Amino acid sequence: MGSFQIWAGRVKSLIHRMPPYHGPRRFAMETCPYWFQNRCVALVILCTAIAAHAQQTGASVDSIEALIRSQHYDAALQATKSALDATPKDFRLWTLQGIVYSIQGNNHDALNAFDKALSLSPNYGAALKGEVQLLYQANDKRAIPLLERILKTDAKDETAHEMLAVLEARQEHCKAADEHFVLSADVIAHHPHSLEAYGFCLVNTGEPEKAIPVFEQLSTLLPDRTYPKYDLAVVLVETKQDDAAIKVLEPLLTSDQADPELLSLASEAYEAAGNTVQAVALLRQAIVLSPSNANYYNAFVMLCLNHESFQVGVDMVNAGLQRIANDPSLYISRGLLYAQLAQYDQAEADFNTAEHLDSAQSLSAYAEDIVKLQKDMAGKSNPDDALLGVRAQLKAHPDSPLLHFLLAKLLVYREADTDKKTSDEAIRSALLAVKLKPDLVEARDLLAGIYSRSGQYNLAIEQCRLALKDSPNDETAIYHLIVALRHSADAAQRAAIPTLVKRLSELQQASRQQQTDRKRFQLVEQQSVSGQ
Amino acid sequence: MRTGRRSFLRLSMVAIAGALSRKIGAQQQSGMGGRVAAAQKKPLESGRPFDAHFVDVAAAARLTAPIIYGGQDHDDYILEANGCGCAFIDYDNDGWIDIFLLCGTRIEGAPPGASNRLYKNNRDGTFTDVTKQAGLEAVGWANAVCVGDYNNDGYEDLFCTYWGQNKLYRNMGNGTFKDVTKEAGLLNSEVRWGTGCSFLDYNRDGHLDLFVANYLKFDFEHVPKPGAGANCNWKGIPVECGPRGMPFGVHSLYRNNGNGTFTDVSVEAGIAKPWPSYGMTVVTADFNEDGWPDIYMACDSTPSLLFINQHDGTFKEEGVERGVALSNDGGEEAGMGVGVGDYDLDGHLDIFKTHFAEDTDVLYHNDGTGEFDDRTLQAKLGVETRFSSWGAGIVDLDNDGWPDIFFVTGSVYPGVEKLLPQNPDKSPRILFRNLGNGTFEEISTAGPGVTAPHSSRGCAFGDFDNDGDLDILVANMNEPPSLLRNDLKGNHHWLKIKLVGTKSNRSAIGARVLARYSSKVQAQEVLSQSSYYSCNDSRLHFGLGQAISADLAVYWPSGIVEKYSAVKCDQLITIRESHGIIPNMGWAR
Repeated sequence: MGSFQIWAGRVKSLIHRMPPYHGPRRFAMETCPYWFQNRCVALVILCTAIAAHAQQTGASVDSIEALIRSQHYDAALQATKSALDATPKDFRLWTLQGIVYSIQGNNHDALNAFDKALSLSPNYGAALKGEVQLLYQANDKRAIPLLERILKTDAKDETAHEMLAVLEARQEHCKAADEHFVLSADVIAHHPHSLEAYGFCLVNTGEPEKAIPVFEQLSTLLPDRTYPKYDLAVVLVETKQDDAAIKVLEPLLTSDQADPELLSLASEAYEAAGNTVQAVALLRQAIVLSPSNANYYNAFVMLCLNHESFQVGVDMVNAGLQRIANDPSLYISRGLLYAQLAQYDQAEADFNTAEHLDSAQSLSAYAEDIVKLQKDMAGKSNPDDALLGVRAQLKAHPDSPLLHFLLAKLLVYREADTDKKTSDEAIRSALLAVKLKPDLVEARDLLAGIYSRSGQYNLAIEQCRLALKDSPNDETAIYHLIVALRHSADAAQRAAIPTLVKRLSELQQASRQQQTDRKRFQLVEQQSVSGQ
Repeated sequence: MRTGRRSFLRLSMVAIAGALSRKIGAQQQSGMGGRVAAAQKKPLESGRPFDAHFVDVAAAARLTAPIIYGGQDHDDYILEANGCGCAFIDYDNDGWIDIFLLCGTRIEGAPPGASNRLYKNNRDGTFTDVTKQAGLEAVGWANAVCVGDYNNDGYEDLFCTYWGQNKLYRNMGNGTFKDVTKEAGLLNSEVRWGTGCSFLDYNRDGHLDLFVANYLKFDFEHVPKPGAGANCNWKGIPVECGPRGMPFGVHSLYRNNGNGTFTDVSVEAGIAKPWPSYGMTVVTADFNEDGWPDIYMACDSTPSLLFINQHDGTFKEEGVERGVALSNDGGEEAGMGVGVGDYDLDGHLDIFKTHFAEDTDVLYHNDGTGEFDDRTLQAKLGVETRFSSWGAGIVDLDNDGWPDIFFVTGSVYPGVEKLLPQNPDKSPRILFRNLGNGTFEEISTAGPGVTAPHSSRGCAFGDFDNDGDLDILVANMNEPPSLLRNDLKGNHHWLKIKLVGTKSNRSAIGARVLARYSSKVQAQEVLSQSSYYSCNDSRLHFGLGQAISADLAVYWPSGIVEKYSAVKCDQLITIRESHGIIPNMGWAR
């Protein structure tokens, strides 16, 4: 789960990479979704559409069009003004005016002209498209209802779908965006900007597998850019295709690679693929390149935890703290390592420091309570300290799902949920934890256990199924489900048990193997050569 | 283009938190898989007196030879760590149980005097070492002992498991034993690590068959030294490697041919499949009460196994679905010892399994159909998590009619205590008295025999002084054994039952007795092995509390059921199948 969280951070960085709109900008039309690939073609198409109408309404439109074709924009503009004096309700003239303003770069007046045209003829395609293009350029979400209008008249307009998808993606309405990306698949294949948006939306909606071909296409379109390969590698790591991720990243891992984020991602992939030696080397490189970035020290701590190399981790964090003295995450990381070394006083001191540095985060409070619990288990403290500690911390951080979960867990184990009062409080705490954080599967597992022990098997089944939705490989949830189904009077439910047992056995075997593979390596300090 | 550093930072902290919460509840033991569980809060003391009082009389009883097993202050290999079992066995049928203690060796070679030992009960509180005369001198990495009369000649035989070659000793009936492993067809073709074992009549033909668990494949050439490989560290300290990461053992079932030989039927019986398991103690009993013996095996760092007898010569493994394989949250545990008994007096056999330090030992309640629920927390047994626990029993130590729980402890990593004092090498025995309401209370005032710290492994329960209460024999690592004499006070009654099969196997292994007294009903079964690698006194002991008699129902392995009403308390009775209660032949009360 730790890796998932770090990946989630990378996903966030994908999302945030989409630059906000800072004003009118030049765009590379060949890479953007537009109905028009260049101005002239735009003109031809728009004007043809307008001219088709103009044959019925008079020659003024023809003449204005001719002026536009011959790039006499000022004259064309003057002509539209004159014509509108005569026929102010001619939506075609307003549209032509909008086109001219737009060509001249006067987007404000262009939008006004298109608005006027649409007020006279709300579904006039040319005006709609003209306005949408300007709004889209400006990343203005007012384009969204207009695009929806376009699609009502022509549901197969792929460009409209694409634009709508990108705008929705920018609003982080990824589910809606994905639907439109699917309907514009042919056109977005050549638009890097749209592909990028589609990719991160698929990731955002929990479909990283589908994002792989998207980022592959993006990488093909932009072979000289690094970020598409990075994005591709992120989703490959997320979908546990670590060898494939390594293959993507390897060409970028030159000796002069100066991107620490890329090095950190590669480290994660190598570690997942079992090559801890390379993982450590790359992460060290990232730290050297960006010694004031706490993330990389924390990633190193994760490696140390995985390989039970706690003192090495402490030493690395100490080095980090010399550069970033006030980073709470580093104190939490070091505290965690101290706890593993059974140096509980140092661990508590670090968590206290983290709490002081950033009291808004509840993580250090949670960590402190965990250490109190460990001290209790080691016989080094008053057994009630952990429970008292959690209750106190919850007063300071009432919305911390982790603290609510910890309280529930302590109540179950320390007080035992066998008496109703304790059981009720444990259930309330665990339910609150999952309300605050629905994917906190450990809390759902705990609830399933409490319900099972009290004979409320249907509730246990419900929690197990919710946990497995977020974490299909959750062995605890599968076991609780087996226990609860065993007590079910429903034969169909009981019939599912053998499959679950088999699944659990497979997962346990895989976990054991992973654990052994992880422990093949231990991180040790480099010894300096004597005399050098 | 990668922005969002602050959000990444927060998520990084969540990653650390995820690691934190996983570490606190997950398996910290490098090689030995076990959960880390917070201890339950101790309930208020009941204030009820506990009448049993244990004194270690081993020295006075002349049980002075140390049980050699591996390094004294550190171990290099897991082979040195697991220790061995012991047995109460009346090898000469004089009615006074004798003592058989296994012994190991050292990597550098066995010190003088290292051997398994047979001690004859002198009936006066002392024992005589008759190992040599009995032909039982042997040195090696002995593990477990199971007892049973495999040839139905009326004398209990011994089977000992080893890393190396197991040994079947036939009791010749004249005070001696003969190693008949080869002629019985029980020689391994290669070095194997035999662990728990049990005689059982799995096909109900009246002859005792044999089940042997295996731990793992071990050889000195391939196993890394402490700290040198995966699964060779504990809390950052280099320790002996394993069992995780080592190849699993393969278990064996041998069918008794009725002529002194056995046939390996492991494959056809469905036993020899590659179960991902490091097998330890074996208990065979009819857990689902269908008249056929099943096999339960505590497994280390892997799911424990429950083989359900299919009545056709085969077994089906159903540990997970029957709720006896894992912890209450589905985690693998370091299952070592197994106590079997009826703790809640509902007439069904429950299971108590011991585990590693910082984990709870587990109580599985049997609903009578062989399906179990974890009742550890409800029974308040989760209050004790300090020590690695080994031999155990669900036994009535104060004769109040409610079976208690007793187990022995000891570190599996000698020497770690120097760096982590909270993990001592030696630690006390643990006694939980049954409060009679589904819960237990830890008792620390049951005498110096309980509180004295040792590094123990196997233990056996039996009445060595024939005074009607249960005493305890304990195998200690690199020390003489403990013999905890129970100096029980009070006026509670008891009943001991010796069963002798005729159509069923002579040892009556697998015979179940339901005793009804004072509106209670308690089930017990004659077992060939339980606790840790050990064998109890074959006479079933029932504490009756204030009841002065009991009604008995005996379910023989042959299928015969016999009932006896109003059997008087405070005596040993002998029941021969189809013959009723017979005089105690040469056996005292």
